[in-house]
Amino acid sequence: MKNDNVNQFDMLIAEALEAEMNSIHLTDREIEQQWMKFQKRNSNKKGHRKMNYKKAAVFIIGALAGFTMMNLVDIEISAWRVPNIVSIFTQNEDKVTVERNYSVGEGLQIIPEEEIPRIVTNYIEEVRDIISFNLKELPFHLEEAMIEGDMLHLNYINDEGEIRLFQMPQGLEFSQTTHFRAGSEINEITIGDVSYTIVRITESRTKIIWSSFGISHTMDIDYPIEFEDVIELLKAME
Amino acid sequence: MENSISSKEQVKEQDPIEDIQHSMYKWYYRDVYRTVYYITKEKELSQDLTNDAFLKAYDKIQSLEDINKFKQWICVIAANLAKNHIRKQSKLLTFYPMETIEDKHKTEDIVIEKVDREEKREKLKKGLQQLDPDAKEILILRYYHNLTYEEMGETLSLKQGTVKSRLKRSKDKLFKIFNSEGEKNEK
Repeated sequence: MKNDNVNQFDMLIAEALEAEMNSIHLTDREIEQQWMKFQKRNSNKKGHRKMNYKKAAVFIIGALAGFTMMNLVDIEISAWRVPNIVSIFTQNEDKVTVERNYSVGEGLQIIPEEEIPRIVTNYIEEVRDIISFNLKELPFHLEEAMIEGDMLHLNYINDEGEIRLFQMPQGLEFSQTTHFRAGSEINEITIGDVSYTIVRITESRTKIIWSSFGISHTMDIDYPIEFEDVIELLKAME
Repeated sequence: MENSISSKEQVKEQDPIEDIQHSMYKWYYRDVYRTVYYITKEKELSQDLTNDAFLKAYDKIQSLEDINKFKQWICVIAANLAKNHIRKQSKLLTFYPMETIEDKHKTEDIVIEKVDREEKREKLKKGLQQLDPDAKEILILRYYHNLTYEEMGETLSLKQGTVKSRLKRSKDKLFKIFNSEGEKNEK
């Protein structure tokens, strides 16, 4: 755009927006009706405010733990220790459990839900600007990114389907337990110094869990993918 | 006597904070509602999100350093709420026709010169309607609410550079749509 056209275009945008906005009509009566609704909601909110701290704790634990099941008789298959990380796989007739215990990173703060800033964008540049840790990215089209406090959700789309990548700084003595349906295939692989747990839950759903430099990562792949291709995908991450 | 009783009752019922909230609500409701409606295009949803914005603003009003900026501040909150709501629904709705629009930069000068101002404004309105929620948000804040880059950055928790690049991207998208509309009409 040439400079004189830029100014002209800016003016046009302002004029068009003003005309559009002024065409949205509202009566005083409508505003009063909405005020009544607002008062009602405001008083309800005051009553529920104390509960939100509990909700925040549940929200964060839920994000880390995945889905859980009850009444289990677990059989330990294997357990081993890599520096600062312990992975334990257990299984019974109903499910497979992966526990990962870490002892790196700074403490995880529990923030009241109301105070967690939430930003949604589809520009990776913005995510890089906002996120304070070294985030991992995939070389695919970013469909959407959501930042909630220190938690980052990246949703990618490629020709095969959808990949969701979740990452966040983890706490001191951090522990994560994830349960999968029985029959899930679990593999552990080390690339560089990073230990990845790859769980094929169904033919078309694979979850990968790992921790690197104090950041916890979970990747969900929602399409059929070979084990070798998962490794290629992990290597392609930036 | 009756007057004196009724005025006492009134005093008893009045909550000064609620009075201030009510005044601010009446004063700014239209701007907030219009901001939301412009992004969502749904009346009831816009009413709900407007109330959400006021709830959030009143709840966090201590964090606002300059009360004179309340209008801009609450409009940013409202735009953000509307945009996030639309994003959540975006898998069901189609908002992004920009990918299919060819780059018509070479013809931009011709188009701007040929179409008169009123027509341009109408075309621009159509173009604005085709934009995604992110672009609408940033353009409304800049060109309707006249927020500075600094104010937008503060309230959107973005760096000024990010605000500028987002605004530029949004204008570029709009410009492409505008020009492609101009070319369609010429044909």
